[in-house]
Amino acid sequence: MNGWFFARPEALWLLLLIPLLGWLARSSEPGLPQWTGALEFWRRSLEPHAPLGAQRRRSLPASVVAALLAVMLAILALADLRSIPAVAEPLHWRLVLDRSPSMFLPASDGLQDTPRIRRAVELSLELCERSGVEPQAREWLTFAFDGEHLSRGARPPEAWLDRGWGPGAEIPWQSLDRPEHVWISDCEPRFAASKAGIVQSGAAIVPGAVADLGARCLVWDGKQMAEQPWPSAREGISLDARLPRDIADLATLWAQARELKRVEADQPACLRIACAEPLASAKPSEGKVFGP
Amino acid sequence: MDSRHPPTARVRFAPGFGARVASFALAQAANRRTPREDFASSSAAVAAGSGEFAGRRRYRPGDDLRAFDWEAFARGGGEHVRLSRRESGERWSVVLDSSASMAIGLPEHPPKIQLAAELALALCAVGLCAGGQVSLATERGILELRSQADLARAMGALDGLECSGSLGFEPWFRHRALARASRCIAIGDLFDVDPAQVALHAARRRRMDAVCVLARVELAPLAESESGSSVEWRDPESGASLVARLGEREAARYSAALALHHRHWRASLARVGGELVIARAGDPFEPHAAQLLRGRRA
Repeated sequence: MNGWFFARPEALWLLLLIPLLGWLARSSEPGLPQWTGALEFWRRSLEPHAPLGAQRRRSLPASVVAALLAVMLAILALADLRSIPAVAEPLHWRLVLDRSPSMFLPASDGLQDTPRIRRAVELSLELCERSGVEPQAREWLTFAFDGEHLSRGARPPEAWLDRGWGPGAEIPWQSLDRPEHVWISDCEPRFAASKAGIVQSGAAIVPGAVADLGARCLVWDGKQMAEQPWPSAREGISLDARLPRDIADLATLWAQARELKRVEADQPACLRIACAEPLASAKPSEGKVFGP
Repeated sequence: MDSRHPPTARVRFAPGFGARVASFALAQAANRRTPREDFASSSAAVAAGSGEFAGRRRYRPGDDLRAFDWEAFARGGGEHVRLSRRESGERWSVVLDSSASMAIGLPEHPPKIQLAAELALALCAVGLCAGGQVSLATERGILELRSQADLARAMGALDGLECSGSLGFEPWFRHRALARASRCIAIGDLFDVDPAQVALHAARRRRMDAVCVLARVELAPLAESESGSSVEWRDPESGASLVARLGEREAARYSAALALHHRHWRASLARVGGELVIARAGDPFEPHAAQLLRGRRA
């Protein structure tokens, strides 16, 4: 609520001096007294249209009026008029947790046992504390194959931080680019945030190919970059026999688009798609497209 | 003098003032008798008024045309009327205003009442010197003057006269004692008298004149106060006051209002053959009295 108030309201009592000063100024105004028998003629000359015998109200000169106005402004300044600051409304944040496979890789601060997801969650909690977001005002959101999962509380459910809870689904970052939203991930998403905040755990580059140079690739081995030919396993992908047919067909098409062949499970492959054990609480999903 | 209290004033005649008035009256009497006025034709008709032929005087508007001297006019003597002994011995009434406003003028200048009293005494002397009778009306009452020997009584009645009250002299116009006067001369500041009433009262008389005596601050206020200064004007009779800044514009409006007031007086007096003379307090009485007696402006 916006408004005004006086920091020193007791100074406003001084405003009573203004009429007193005006009365004193008026009573001391007469100046030189002159006796005359022609008072009525003077009254006519000062107020040409006034009726005869009319009493003329004495007015204060402009200088006295200006002085009284200055005194009034000085008293108001002494009373220290201030505006009431607007009361900030409590914050309500929605923290979107990325549970993609990379989030379960080790963090980059030397703590090899700390996965990135935990590191990112700790950083987001620090941000909530600094920003004054109360625990009851935090809403945690993540995406799995069975849809959205929402939780309120000081921290996200512990199960979310476990890889065994299930793989994370693709997060619609663009639709979540809103005020009072915080993205929790290990790196910057492909879609740049303009309104949401980002908490990134950061991490070292995962050893492996980091760039495609055509017949050769650029590989990071954890210490340095090296250029080498693509491994022969690049030519194939391995698909679990238990995969549903539509998924296997989709994966095959994907491999073909990348000039990859389908290989057996016991052969080297650059990509293996296997069926994980279903979660007891997992809901069957139908008609959802997932994957990179 | 404490300016918070109304001014007070008394008439004070200087030593030798009586002789000064007497010499003025004699000079006025000599001026009335010109060589032409002394001329009297044996074939002249009896003057219109009853009584012995006593001479001529210049014609004034309102004079009885039966007294017009056609013989003198035909001879190129100008416009004159014949005077009978009764006319030369006119009955005058001199009314003096001694209200509180007549005390204005002090302390820097003489009060208005002083010049007014001197004029009243001088006019009484002139009337008596011309063989007439004079009724002098003041706040102290009506004094009947029948000869020049009564002038000392008049001087005694005026000396020490104090300004007070707000009665003015309008009530004197209705007094029986003054109703027989053929000429009435009112002396005062004329602020409290309605000039329209003058003609009404003077209709019963042949003539009415007035002398308006004003203080210097009333005639020329800017000469007495600095332009732009704050002045509190006070009326000594009503006690009313008015605070204003005295500027050129205000002074001009005041002068215009005062001039209009005097024009109304002149118009009213002219209807009864009279004149208005404006005198400034502190001036000698001779020029103003002479102007009034001449019957034309100086």
